[in-house]
Amino acid sequence: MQELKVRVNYVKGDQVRFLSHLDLTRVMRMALRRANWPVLMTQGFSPKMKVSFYSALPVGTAGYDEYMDVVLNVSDRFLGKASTKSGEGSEVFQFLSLLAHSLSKTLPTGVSIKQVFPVEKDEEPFESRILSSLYHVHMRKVDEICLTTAITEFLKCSSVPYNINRRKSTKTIDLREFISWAQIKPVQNLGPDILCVLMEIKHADGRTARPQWVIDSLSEFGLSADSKEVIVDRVKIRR
Amino acid sequence: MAEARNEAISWNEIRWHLSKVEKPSRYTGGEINVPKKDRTGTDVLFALGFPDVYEIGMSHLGSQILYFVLNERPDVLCDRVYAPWTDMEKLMRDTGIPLFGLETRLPLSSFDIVGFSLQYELTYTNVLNMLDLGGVPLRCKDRKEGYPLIIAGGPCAMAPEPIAPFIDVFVLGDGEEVVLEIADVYKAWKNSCESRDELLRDLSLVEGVYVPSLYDIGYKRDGTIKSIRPKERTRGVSGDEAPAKISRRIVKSLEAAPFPVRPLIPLMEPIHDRAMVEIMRGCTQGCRFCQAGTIYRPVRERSLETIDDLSRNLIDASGYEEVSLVSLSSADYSCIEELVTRLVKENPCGARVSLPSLRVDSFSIDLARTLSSGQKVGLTLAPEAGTQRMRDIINKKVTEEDLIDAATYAFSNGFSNIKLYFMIGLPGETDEDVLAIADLAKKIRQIGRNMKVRPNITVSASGFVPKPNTAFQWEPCISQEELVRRQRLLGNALRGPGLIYKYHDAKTTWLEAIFARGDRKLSEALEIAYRKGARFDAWPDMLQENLWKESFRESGLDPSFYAHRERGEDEVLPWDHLDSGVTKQFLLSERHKARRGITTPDCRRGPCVKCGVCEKFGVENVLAVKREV
Repeated sequence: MQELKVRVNYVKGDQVRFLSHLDLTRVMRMALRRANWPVLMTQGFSPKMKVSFYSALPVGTAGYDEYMDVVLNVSDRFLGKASTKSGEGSEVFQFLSLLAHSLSKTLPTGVSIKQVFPVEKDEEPFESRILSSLYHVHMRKVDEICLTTAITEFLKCSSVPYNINRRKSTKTIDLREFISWAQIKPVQNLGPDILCVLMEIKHADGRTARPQWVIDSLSEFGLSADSKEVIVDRVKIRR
Repeated sequence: MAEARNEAISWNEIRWHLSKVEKPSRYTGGEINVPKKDRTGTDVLFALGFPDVYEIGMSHLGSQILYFVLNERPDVLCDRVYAPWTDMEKLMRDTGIPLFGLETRLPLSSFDIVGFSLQYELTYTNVLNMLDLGGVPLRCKDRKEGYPLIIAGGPCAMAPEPIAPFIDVFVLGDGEEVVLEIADVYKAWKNSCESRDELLRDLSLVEGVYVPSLYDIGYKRDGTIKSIRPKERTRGVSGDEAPAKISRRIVKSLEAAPFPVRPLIPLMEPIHDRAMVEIMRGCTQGCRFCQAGTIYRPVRERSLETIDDLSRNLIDASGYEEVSLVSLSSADYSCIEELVTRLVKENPCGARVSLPSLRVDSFSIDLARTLSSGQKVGLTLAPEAGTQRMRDIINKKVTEEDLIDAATYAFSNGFSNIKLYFMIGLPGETDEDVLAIADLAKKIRQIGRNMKVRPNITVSASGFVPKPNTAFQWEPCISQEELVRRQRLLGNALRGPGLIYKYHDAKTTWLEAIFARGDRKLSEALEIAYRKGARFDAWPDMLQENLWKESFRESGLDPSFYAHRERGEDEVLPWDHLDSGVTKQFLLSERHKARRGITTPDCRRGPCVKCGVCEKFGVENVLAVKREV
């Protein structure tokens, strides 16, 4: 038996957007067990599956380009001479495609598998390779001109302080430094009163910002919108 | 009341709002193993309601069994609904979104039948809130044609008078068979042109069904009950009258009883996040404070083979890592050792196995050791009282020696955390009995210290509430002030390293004591309290004592009459017309024996104690392995 580390590219869709990250990891672990994936377990009194999740999404945010790594314990015959560089059609890929199929069948509505592929065991941690996330932020009952102006003014600033309120403390960050760009999605067919803002938010040293914070801070630039009444989708993770 | 809406609530309507509430996945559904059923072609649209938050309701095995049983029927579609937390309630009221079934997203008012599970009395205000939010009039008399039939079951249905004016039909006892019979009667009625009153009369003829509106309750001047009688002119189509006494339903054997092997798996973590197999129902230990020990008699065990099969199937269909062998007292399962060996050592289902309750003996510690497979977590034991005198009174057949032996054995097997459950305020309790709890905890701590482990002894003491259908149903509950005094007495005696003291809020005990043995008049106070904003009263930080006191005042009721009054032995009790099978005579004799400190044996391991159940229902204890008597 050998270890094989695989990366699962999956979707946390609209129907499960309100799941917390912790609940999503529980759902995934249970699905892996139902699908009979040969996941390697940690040693000790309470063995746990060797599964890692990246760039946690907050409650309410859907993700269409999410990743988790799973370490499998597989028979030598699948690995043999195979390596992560083996091309599609190789035994490893066939095996992984079967696994992807079995996992897909056990997932709840809203979670789906895009791809499962092998990765080098000693690869640089995935989290540190994430450069930015691309978001779609849907808003309703918002004046388009007001929104455009607020975004433009926000982007003109070199620094936008933002207070993150935690249970017992408040932390101030410079929100502007996380925002690469933001704009209203030009072509849309979203229904009456709904606008969509596209924004790219940087990741740096494991830190990033939330699109809702941007919406909150737009109030300083003349926009009145409730950041709890937006629908946020992360559509892409850039590496 | 929420405005009645008939169409399903759209996902789009909900999703714009859900970010504003705590734990929004309580309201989204989408669980694993939800059967894919089409609404068209179903005759009865059923909603199972659990009057507490989603994560508690989803951990309730009884609801899962009924959900499974109902959805097995092609002509029935069963959905679920849980009590929204206060933030969601506010959102629903502000936005006009009615309470809806999680799967169909239909408002509660669109269902044919809504069935509530009444597990404890302090959820009653949530039942009223759920009806109101769902667009259903609170009182049965205001629900005319077109509104759902509101039914309720669970332990509180055996003494349901305080909530009776709001519930059309109560289901007494085991629900898996009778719920289908109710669906049958409903379906036949729906296809007829009969009135709603006719439906209620037809239902009153089903065994195990209590229709409170068909009974008159007469009161004496002192406020006690004079009589409970079926109303005149309650003749149903078949000409039979509503029965004077309603017997609870019993599933004679669990072996063939349906069990959900594809349980619903919530996407958010429920409070009990594990697969559950009901290994037996009923308990005949005969603890005199225990309601479940009366209303679920006799003992009915599943066979080893069935439990083995169910465990495997459950684990396969759920992906859980742990299977819990649940019952009222799992260590009493007749071949528990063989069962645990089979499940753990042969490990057919590849999951951890847990027992929710242990007995106070070394045999149980051995079981715990086998189950923990090396990892020593904590042990929970329930001596219930501090002195032998008190334990004899409550018929808890545990001696101090048993407890000391069990603790010694536990420490020598690597356990260091022991949790002990006690009750304060039991009938006949003195300060010495309360202080003896602390002495016992300290003795156990000393044993641990002598054995060079660093023991942590947690003493959890709940306030005793006399419950209907127990030997203590006539006893007064001690006052809040007295309970607080005894709690402090114990707290002061329990100080020191390695001792942790936990106790229940005295006002929760007070309110539970009022409603547990309440009569129909209490429904006034219940409705007033609900309208004043009482919700989630079982949650200590949610219970508003002053609000309740005002409600009792406004309804002209004295809470002490219900909580702190000793009932006369010849008094008609508000649940006397509901027959658990255990005779009043037996309960009285148990009360008298308690006063004399005489214990009663367990009929599984000794002669019949003549409680009346087997004789009345033509049943007997069903054990996986017959014991020699």
